[in-house]
Amino acid sequence: MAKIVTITNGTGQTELINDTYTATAEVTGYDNASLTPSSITVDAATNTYAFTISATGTLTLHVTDTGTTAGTPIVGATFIRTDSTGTEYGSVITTDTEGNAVFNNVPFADTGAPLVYYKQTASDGDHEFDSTVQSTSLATQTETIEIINTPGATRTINLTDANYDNLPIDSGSITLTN
Amino acid sequence: MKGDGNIKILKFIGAGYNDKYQVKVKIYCNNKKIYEGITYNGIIKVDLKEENIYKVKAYFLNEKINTYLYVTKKCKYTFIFTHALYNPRTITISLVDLYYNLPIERGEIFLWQK
Repeated sequence: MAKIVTITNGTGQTELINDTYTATAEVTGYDNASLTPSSITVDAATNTYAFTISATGTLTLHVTDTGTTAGTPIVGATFIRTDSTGTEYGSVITTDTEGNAVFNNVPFADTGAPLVYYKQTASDGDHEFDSTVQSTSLATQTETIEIINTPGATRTINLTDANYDNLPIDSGSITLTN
Repeated sequence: MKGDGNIKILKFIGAGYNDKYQVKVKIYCNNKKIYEGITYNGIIKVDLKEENIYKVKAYFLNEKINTYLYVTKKCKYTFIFTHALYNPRTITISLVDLYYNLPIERGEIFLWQK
């Protein structure tokens, strides 16, 4: 007879007596065989026990200026995984020369796959991007999502002489740094 | 020393499954032993005087409870063998994604007693 610990947002509780237990997992989207450790010894001195689990899916974010496979790739755009509230986890990933940023080891399942949350943290400096938390779920082990980073709109910059109203400056340059 | 006619229940937790094993209990008042006996299903019933302080000694395997008990109007008093094998307590289990340290939103862990 097994004790079943229901995990919600990373934790669960149960009443146990001191003993050694073999542990197995049922987590949709994850490789249940990857549960670590596979056994725990509950003793009087410890009331908290930590487990890890991993997945084998791959999520590719393909970033272009049109959001299509035919668009111009955006190189250097950065993304990070989050939870639903936007708290960041793991390392930042960056788009390569083909505009691809790859999240490895994400969960997938043909039904009931958990949501994978992520957000874009930067583009290449010349394109606009959506920094809000996005989510998707993977029904297959490898999936690609098209993401649009639109070119910055053309803006008009005026430069006039401060001492002569509306007198345009013939030539010169202004550097804008963000 | 006799009590004042108020039978108190002293419960000892952790001595075997469902506290089945007998625990030897001694109760002292002013260094004088006023009770000596064993538990039945983890319980002894003893006449203790309210607003008195007693010393309670209990023994199970290698663990000893040695504590003072201030008796009030309360009927039941609980003592726990914290290191005993059969002392069930709430255990917290955490489960995170190995590569992202991301808490797992939903899932179940099964713990099989060896």
